[in-house]
Amino acid sequence: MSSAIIALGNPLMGDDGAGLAALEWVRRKGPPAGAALVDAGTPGFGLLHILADVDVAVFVDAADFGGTAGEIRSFTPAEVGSLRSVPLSSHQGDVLQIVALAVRLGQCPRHVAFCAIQSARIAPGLGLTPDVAAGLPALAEEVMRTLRTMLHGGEGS
Amino acid sequence: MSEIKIHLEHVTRVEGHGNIVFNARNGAIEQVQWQVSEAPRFFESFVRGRPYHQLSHITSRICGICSIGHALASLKATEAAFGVTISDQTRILRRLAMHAENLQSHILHVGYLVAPDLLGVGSVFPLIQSHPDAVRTVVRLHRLGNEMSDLLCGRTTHPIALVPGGFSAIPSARSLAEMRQKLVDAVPDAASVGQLVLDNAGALPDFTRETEHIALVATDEYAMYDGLIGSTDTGRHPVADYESIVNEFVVRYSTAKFTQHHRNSYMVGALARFNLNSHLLRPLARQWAERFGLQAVCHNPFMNNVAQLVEFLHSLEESVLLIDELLGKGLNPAEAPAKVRAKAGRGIGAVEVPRGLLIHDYTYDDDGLCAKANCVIPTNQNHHNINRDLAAFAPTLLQKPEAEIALNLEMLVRAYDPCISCSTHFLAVRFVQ
Repeated sequence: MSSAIIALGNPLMGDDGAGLAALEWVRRKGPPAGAALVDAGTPGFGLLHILADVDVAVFVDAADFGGTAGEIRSFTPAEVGSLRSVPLSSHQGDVLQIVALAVRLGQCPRHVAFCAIQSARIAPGLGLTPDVAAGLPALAEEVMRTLRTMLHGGEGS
Repeated sequence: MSEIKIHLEHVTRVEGHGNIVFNARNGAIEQVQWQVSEAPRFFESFVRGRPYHQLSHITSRICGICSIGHALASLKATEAAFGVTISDQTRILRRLAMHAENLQSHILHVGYLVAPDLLGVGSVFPLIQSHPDAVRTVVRLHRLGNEMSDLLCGRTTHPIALVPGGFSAIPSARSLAEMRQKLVDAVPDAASVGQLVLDNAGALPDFTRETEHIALVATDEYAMYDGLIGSTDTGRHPVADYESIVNEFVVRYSTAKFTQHHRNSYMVGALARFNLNSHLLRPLARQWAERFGLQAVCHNPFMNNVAQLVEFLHSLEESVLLIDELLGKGLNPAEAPAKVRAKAGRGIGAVEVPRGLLIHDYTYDDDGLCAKANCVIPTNQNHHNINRDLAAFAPTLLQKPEAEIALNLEMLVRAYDPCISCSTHFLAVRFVQ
């Protein structure tokens, strides 16, 4: 199965750059063979084209799910949808809607999951807060564990 | 006493946060205004002191949709300042890159953002149920534009292969031939989107207000990469005279600069290009213009969306011909960029990006460090014209229900395609009556 790890975020917005930083950790650790590593930034409709090409997609991003800074959570798009009244990340609306659009078009990966780290500060500025920076290795591990599970076990949406 | 107050907040998000304010009392308009509340971004200030080779990469970040155009306007300004002459091959590849951007931007706007208005729904989502094949077609065409941008520029957005003097990497002849075939194959898809818009063109308001249209003009092609500055009112002007054309000024209610030339305001973009260059369209594009009844000079701003569709077809046809020319002459994939020797001087670069005329003007010191920069953005040039259009259009809407007034006002702003998120349907609407 083809797969992709898709990092979201804007490194100019503090902890919002955590997804991209985690992608670098994944790159260094060595991702599962054949997995595409995609720095999607703050994507728009072009994300549809990435999703159309893979069977498995794991998004990695900073999020606000009411946890403690640096806490890591994984979930499917359906679970994220159930939390929509709480801002998940600065890309929540757009990315979820693009995934929903891909599903309705019949051009969505068979399995989609999100791995997120609780942000402490999303505001203009470079650099991650200490708790979020400290959580990057664990976030990268969680991304690879989630991807391996979906490739071999078929979890996700 | 009847009172209607409409405040449409954040019609824009990326290149311009903007609101529409509409107040009417007893059947008379008291205020209708397009307010741009975008935070200043200071690009012109923070490129000062930067070396010339960084400027195209920095300024391409001004826009996530027109980043190729910004990079090329920037490179043209730098090359003009240093007296650099680019090769024919570079010129053709750059023109192809402009068409790639036009393709991806226009289909994004017409397919995802305007089509819902034409079909009477709030977003692209309901269209998946009612017009699934059309949405899939739009996705395919958008992907083609992105792939072409990636092929020519090294990535879809914020080009990395465009450098002073030429290209840091040139696509192979084989990849260009493959892209040519994809462009040819895309014509039926483009025609099907054209037919969908044509079938629903009755939803475009019949509104006309005479204004000045400004775009690049050339004698031998539908100008996108090179040309003089053309005006429907005053003829042709050298690019070097651009400051006396755009006449930038500020207003109290907007953080963006406004512009005006021969009249109170002017329009740039696909409709302005069509009005000044329609005789140079390729045949298929011309056929589609005729089917829509689009004729120069058209003063209905809603027809800007039709002009975008016509330009999409033109860019498909023109790109095929440009690839033929490149391959026919024998592509040199190892061609190095022209030599650049920095020196003190000033250069101006003008191109046509999807939303209209774009100008970068740089002054460099002896070491090739930027001493001064001025960037004139299409969206800014249209703000004043949007306001004039709103003032003329709003009184024609007074008898309509509030929801319809709001939709029509939004549609007018969206017709200008101020930027991708500028035209989304995520709007907070508050009525007080």
